Amino acid sequence: MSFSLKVFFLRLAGGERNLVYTYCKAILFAALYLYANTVTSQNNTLSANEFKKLSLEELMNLEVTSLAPNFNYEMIEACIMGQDLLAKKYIEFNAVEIPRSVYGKISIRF
Amino acid sequence: MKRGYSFIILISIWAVLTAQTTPVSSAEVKAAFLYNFATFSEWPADAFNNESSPFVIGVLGGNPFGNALNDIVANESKNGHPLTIKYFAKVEDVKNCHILFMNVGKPDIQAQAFAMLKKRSVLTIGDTPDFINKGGMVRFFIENSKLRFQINLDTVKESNIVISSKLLRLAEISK
Repeated sequence: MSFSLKVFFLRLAGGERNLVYTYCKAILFAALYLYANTVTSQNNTLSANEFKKLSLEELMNLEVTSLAPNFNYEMIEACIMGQDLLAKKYIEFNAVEIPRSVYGKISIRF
Repeated sequence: MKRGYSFIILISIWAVLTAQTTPVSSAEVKAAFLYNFATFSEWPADAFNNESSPFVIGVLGGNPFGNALNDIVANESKNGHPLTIKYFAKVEDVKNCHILFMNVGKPDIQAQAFAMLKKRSVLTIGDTPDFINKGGMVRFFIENSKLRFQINLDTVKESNIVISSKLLRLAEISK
């Protein structure tokens, strides 16, 4: 540990004797931080009712994933059946987003 | 001890501020927008069979919304018309609906749908890149990970549907 950091921790602890106690506090605070972060992250999942209550501006401010179903049913069917898709075909369907239902199941050949 | 408490408060505030926002599925946001288009637009009286006939939101092609659209629309109504979802596999199946989300990428099927719906009060919504140019009314697109929409005012006017200024001021208008 560098000298300045040691001085900082000693000052924070109020002396050499309380250093262990300070480390314990730091671990407790880190755990508290992780817990608060987890709780607030989970709150970002919205239910249908919450979606309805959002204003238009709030809806437009939501960050969205691009892994959403967007395109042709035939293409999705083809992917579900495990068929390879040619990139040409993919472009033909204007598939700018990867459908969630086929994510991980499709292989695109160029 | 006071220092300890203030440190806890600081850590909590930091945790809240730095909490990572979980992106939501664009399909869910699109479903919420379909509901808002139903809410903030007006259809001519002759678009309904009677005062209690359903307000139909149709989805043509595969269902891209999962349960999201059904969940959002459940138990909702518009001026006494209960909101209902109908799924259509083929263009010919589209009979009576007020909003049609076209999950169709093939240009010939799109053209067939637009020709069939011309001069009918059906708000066509899609998300293919050329949807507006081909004759669609509202097109969703993603910009900087946020959902945006484009409205073709000319085609909307032809259908006698009036879209509220609340939606228009947030839209990218194309003529």
